[in-house]
This record gives sequence, C-alpha cells and structure tokens, in this order.
Amino acid sequence: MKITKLIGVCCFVIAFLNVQAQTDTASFNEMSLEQLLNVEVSVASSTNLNNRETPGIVSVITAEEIEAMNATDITDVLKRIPGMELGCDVEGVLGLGIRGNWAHEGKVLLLINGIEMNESLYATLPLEHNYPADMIEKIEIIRGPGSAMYGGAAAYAVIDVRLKSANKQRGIIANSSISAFKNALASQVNNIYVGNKTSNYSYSIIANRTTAIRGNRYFTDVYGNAYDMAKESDIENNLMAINLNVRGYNIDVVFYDYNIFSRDGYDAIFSQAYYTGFKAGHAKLSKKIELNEKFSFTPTIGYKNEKPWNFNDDYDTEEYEPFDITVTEWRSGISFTYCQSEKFNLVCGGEMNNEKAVDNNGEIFSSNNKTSITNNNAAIYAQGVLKTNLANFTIGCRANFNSIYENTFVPRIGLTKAWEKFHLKALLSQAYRAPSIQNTDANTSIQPEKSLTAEVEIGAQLTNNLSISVNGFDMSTTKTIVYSYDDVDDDDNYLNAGKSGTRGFETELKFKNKANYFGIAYSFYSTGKQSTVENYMVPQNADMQLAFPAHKIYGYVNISLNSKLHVQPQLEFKGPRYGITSYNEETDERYYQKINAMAVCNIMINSKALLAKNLNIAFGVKNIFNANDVLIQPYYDLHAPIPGKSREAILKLTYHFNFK
Amino acid sequence: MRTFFKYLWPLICFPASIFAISVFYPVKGGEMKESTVKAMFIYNFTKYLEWDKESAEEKFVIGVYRYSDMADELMLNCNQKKVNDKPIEIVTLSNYQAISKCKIIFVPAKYINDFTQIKNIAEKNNVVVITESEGMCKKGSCINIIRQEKNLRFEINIKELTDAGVKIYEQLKKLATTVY
Repeated sequence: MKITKLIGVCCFVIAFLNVQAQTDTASFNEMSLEQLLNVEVSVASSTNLNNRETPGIVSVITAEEIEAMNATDITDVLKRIPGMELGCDVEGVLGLGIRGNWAHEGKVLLLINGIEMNESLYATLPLEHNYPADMIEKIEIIRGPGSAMYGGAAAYAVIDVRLKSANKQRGIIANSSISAFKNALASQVNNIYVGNKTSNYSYSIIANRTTAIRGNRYFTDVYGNAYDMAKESDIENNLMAINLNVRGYNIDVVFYDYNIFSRDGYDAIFSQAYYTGFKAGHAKLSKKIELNEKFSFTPTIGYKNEKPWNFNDDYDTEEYEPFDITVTEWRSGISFTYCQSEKFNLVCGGEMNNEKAVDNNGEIFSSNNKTSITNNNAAIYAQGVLKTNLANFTIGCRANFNSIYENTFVPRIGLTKAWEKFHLKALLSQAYRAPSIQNTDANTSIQPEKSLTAEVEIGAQLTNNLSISVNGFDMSTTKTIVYSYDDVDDDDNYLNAGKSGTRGFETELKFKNKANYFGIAYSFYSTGKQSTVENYMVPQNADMQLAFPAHKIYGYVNISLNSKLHVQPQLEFKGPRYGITSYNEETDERYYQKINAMAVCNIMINSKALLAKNLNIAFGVKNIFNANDVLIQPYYDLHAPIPGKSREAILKLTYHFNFK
Repeated sequence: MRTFFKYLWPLICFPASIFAISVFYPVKGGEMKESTVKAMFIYNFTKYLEWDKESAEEKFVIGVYRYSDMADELMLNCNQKKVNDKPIEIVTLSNYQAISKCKIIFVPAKYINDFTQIKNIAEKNNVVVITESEGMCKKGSCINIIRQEKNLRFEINIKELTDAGVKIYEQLKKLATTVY
C-alpha cells in the first residue's frame, strides 16, 4: 500500500515537473548564438584523463553494449570483465570473486549513482537478479584496489554504476523481458524509467520488479540430500531509484527489497524453503559549490536504513534461526577539488559515518551484551594528479580512524603515459578491508586486513579499429579476514587468518568499426604458492584457490545484418575449478572435486525499430549446449556447488518515448 | 578514541552548515553546464555555414571523436532538430574512418593528440573540425570554442574552412572573438 502511494505521488510530481520542463527546455533550445554568448557556464570537470591515462585498470561498459549483449541483470555484464567470477556464499546468496580471490565480503564495492550498496552488517554484496541491466547507463569497473579514494570496502575492486538519467534520456522507457528453461519459467523482469531535464532541474525515476528462479536442476548437498531448484529457489526483487537535481542540489534515493526463497542453507539443505531478505533505503544529498574556476567543494550527507540477511517469519522450526537486525547509518563528508591548471589537480576531503545496529528480536550482541551496537568511522583522503611531458603522476592516500579496530593508513602511487599508439600504466597501491559490525561482534580483537597490489598495463592501438591491452598484477593480503560457520554453536566465526593473494595477467583485444565489433578477453591467476589461508586452499593444486578458474576467456562478436538487426554470439570458457562436493561426518573429511573445464555459448538477436518506430525487440538463447556452469563456494565450509542454469530462451521488449 | 571522535564531529556539522548556508546563498539561475552550451554552439554554427558539396547522406551527421559528454549533450539538445531539412544524427566515432560521413566533427580536449590525423581526413572530405582547446585555431582547427571567465567564446579560421570547402556567413565572423 505504501509503495502504491509513493508511486502515486511520484506520478503527480512527474506530471507537474514535465509541464515546467518542456517550457524551460524549449526556451534554451531556441537561443541564438548571440544569446548563447551571454550564458554563464559552470566550471568544467577537474580531471581530464581518458581511459588510457587513468591511474587504474579500468573497464567501461556502456548502455549500448549492455543492450547488444541482451543482459538481464548486472551479473550478465560482469561476466565479460576479465578476472571476475561468481561464487556462492550461504542461504542461496551469490557474490563476486576478483582475480581468483573471494571478494564478496567487504572487498568489492558497488556504487549505484554514488551510493554504496554493500550492506553494513557483514559488508557483503549479494548479486543476481537485483540490479537490472536495462536501467544502467554506464558501468565503470576498477579491477584493482580503490581504498585510497573509496574506503574500506574497495580493497580488490570498485564497480561504479550510473543508472539511466535525464542527462542522456529525456523521456520514458518501458522494458519487459521473460525467459524460460525447458521445464520452468526462468525470469520475468519489468522496468520503467522516466526522466527529464531543464536548465534549472532534472529528475529521473526508475522502478524494477523481477521474479526469477536460481536454476532448474537438482541441488545435492555434501551429505547427498537433494531438492528440485525449479520448484524451490525463487528470487524476488523490487527496486526504485530516484535522482533529483534542483539548481545544483543533487538528491539520490535508492530503495530495494531483495528476497531469496530457498532450501539452500549452510551445509545440509533445509526441509523446506525459507526466505533471506535484503531490504534497504538509501538517500544522499550533495551539492557542488564552485568558489572560482579553480576551486570547488562538495558537501555530502547520506542516510541508510536496512535489514540485511533478514529472516523473521513465524515458522515452527529450529533449523533456521530468525535473524532480524536493523542498521541505520548517517554519513557525512566533504570533498575539495583544486584544479590549478590542466596540468595539476588535487582532490581531498574527509568523511565520517555512524552505524547503529539494533536486534529486533531482542538478542544481545556478544561483544557488548546489549541489543544494539554502534560503530563510528572517520577518514581523510587526498589524491593529486600531475601531468608532465614525461608522464602523468598520481599520488594518493587515505587515513581511517575507527572506534573499535585499529587506525589504518593506505597510500597509492601511479604513473601513466599515453603516446599516439601506445599507453603504459604502473601502479602500486595499498588497500584495506574494514571489519564490519558482525566481524567485530564475533571477534572483538579482529583487525583490518591489508593488501598490497602492484599492477602494470601496456596498451596499443594496433589499427584505427583494433586495440589491445595487457596487464599484470600481484595482489597480496595480510591478516586476511575469513569467515567460517560453526554448526555446533550455530554461530558465525571471523578471524585474521594469514596471508593470501594471487598474481597473474589479463588481456583484452577489441575491434570496432561503424557497424560491427568484437572483443575477446583472457585472464589468468596463480596463488604463486604464497597463500597460507587454509579456507581458500585446494589440497591437490597449490596454485589455485577454491571456486575460481585459473584460466578464463570471454569473447563476443556483434554483427550488424542491417541498420535494424544485430546478432551477437557470445562464448565464455572457464578452465578447471575445484569445489567441495561431499563430506564424511565420521572421519571429518572433505572431498575436493575437480570440476572440468567448460564453455557456455549464447546467441542474442537484437532488432531496433524493426516492427515499430520506438520498439526494440531482442531474442536470445543462453547456454545453447546446456553446459553445467556450477557456482562454487570459495572457502572450505561445507556448501556443495550450486548447479548452473540450463539452456534458457529469452525475449525482451523495450519501448522508448522521447519528450520534445 | 572517544575524544578523537568528539573532535571529528565538525566533519558532520560542517557539510550540514554548508547546506544550510547555501539555501540563503543567491542562486545563479542562468548558469549552465559547459558542455550543454557548447552543444548549442555547435548546432547554431550550422546556421552560418554552407557546405560546397551536397551530401548524399539522408541525415546531417555531427560526429564526436571518441566517447565524451559532448555526444550526450548533442543527443539531448539537437537530436530532434534539422539542418537544411535534414534530421541531425549524432554519432560517436571510435576511429578515423567514419569522419568522412560527417559534416562536423567535434574533437574533445582529452583526444586533442589525435587532431592532426583527424584534420587531414576532414579537410579532404568537406568536414568542419571543431575543437575546445587553447590555441587550436592557430594549429588548424576550423572553429575553436574557448572559455573566457564565465562565458564561452569562439575563434574561427577562415583559411581552414575554405580549404574544407565550407562557406562562412559574415554574421559568424562578427560574433567570433578572433578570426584567423
């Protein structure tokens, strides 16, 4: 009922704003050159570095590419990124691995319109069917540490998602897709976008509803019990994102309600399906204030209220304990930008957040014997970029202060240089993972883990259409925070386990002409036998970590049959992986199984305005050869691999209407 | 540690007070995003230019060299407009090949290193090159948009426009800050 009222109010506001918008835009669009000469303009962006010069290993995927790949949610897009791979956690939740390392819990940061999406209790980032791909304008992925600028959840990667906004889309987009396995409906996704912009304000509103199932095969746990995922692995997601910019005041709001209904638990499957819910409301207010052409600053205030990993229904059961904790967070910060010239700019600032977790069932937190717990965090950071004829130099650092765990300081340095046809990047960064509320509650002496990452990238523009880049990396993490589940006490355990990390390389070859394009990416990692964290180790192969293939290839070709019809075959190849598939309770022995190399082939057909002017129709078949791309738990708890999705047909309709 | 956080409270209070003060701070109503105004400049230039060769293309193509904000702004502000009864099409160019299809090519400042190659192709194909970097008109750009304090201005290079086979109206020369 509340949602209905909210949508009603939104519609009213849209109708009102629309009338205003059309008037203001029209007057600006009809200005003559003489009039335009008198218009005052705001200060240009402070950094003027393109991707070849950015101090980071960066992948950018645009809305056009997402549309052509016929992705339904963000995980379809992330598969294309070298070194990124999904793994399974517990209770049916999926998360990300980066360059062979489990990053789901506090080491990969997701930003949606600048708002942090990692939940605060465990800092995890649940994925699949919760962020609709069709509502994304651009994704920028930093494959490597981002802590110096982005803080304690960005130790291994940063995924910066910009949703569709009035800066690019002035109108309405309605989008619906349906997909099916041979024996079950796989997913139904409905999205709507409305956005408009004038000289004084802009707004955009996105709403999504997704229903899906995780798969349609049988899941068998480590004890040999099985259930049919086609019947008991439902996923339901509702998301709403609003952006409003009025005379420079920028307000972003994101609500989501993501629920997984599954018999999937920790080790043994449950006797029936239970839900695990992630509910949150985020709001952020910011305004860029320009003092002069060189100096500006942006104050920010944010608020979050969430219930992650929530289960509180009144089931008569002892196998799944209720978990109902509300986290509220106030966040505040200010960043200063000084752009001395095109040659030098400096960004610095500070931020502070206060998190309070309250157990709604009256359970006490073990660290303070109360039903609520508070965590205060503050940080100051700075990053300067100096462009010289020799190269561009970047120096940055962040100091973090916390009320529970020890203070942290992480520096980074970078050197980039772009010639006409080549570019070079050399980066050395420290990063940290901040322990979350539940980490510090489970283990009061836990400390932040620290990573040191060295990266080198060389790129070449081979022809006007063809480019290649190769990067090598060495990531090493000390005091690695690891999770384990104690099934005797039914409790979470966290500890600083030792050293982990990987080294390897990634390469991307891309071709693009006006009509057609293709890309192929290969990634490789090895532990270099440096890991001492038993939780991630593979006994029969010391060079690999659990769940993640050492070799991965992703390739695609986009062929334009004519201006309205495009075909895109896609291939994802994964080398052998390892996972725990069974467990002998009597001898306490885990069985680590080698999962053979496999390939998933998809074909997508996209038509633009083929049947009607503003209507795009896409059809595709995912996993044509019905490979079993299992989702493996990347640490040695007793969760058997979740079977992959079988062959899936998908149909998508997108209607767009532009405001004049 | 408590004392430390006590002293860091200004970090919360400071942004809050800035917001509060900025409410009473006079709002500069007429201030626009630089790229938005540049997009409208580019559209308006078409009213003062005449291309020698009549294009076989059904659309009037404005190209933006590689990805930049400008493509978005042009798309938003000019997509439904026409030049000589031809609808405008905005394209982002990933390489030099498609330059010949354009009537105008905009080179963002961050890709200015590629200017010489772009200019060579544009000149042979009746394409107007527009830049946004200091001193580019002297270096061979047809039109260069520059910023002077809070406003945008533009310079034109008549020789380059003539070499590209484009006729320029007198009014545009009068509005330019510098004519080469």
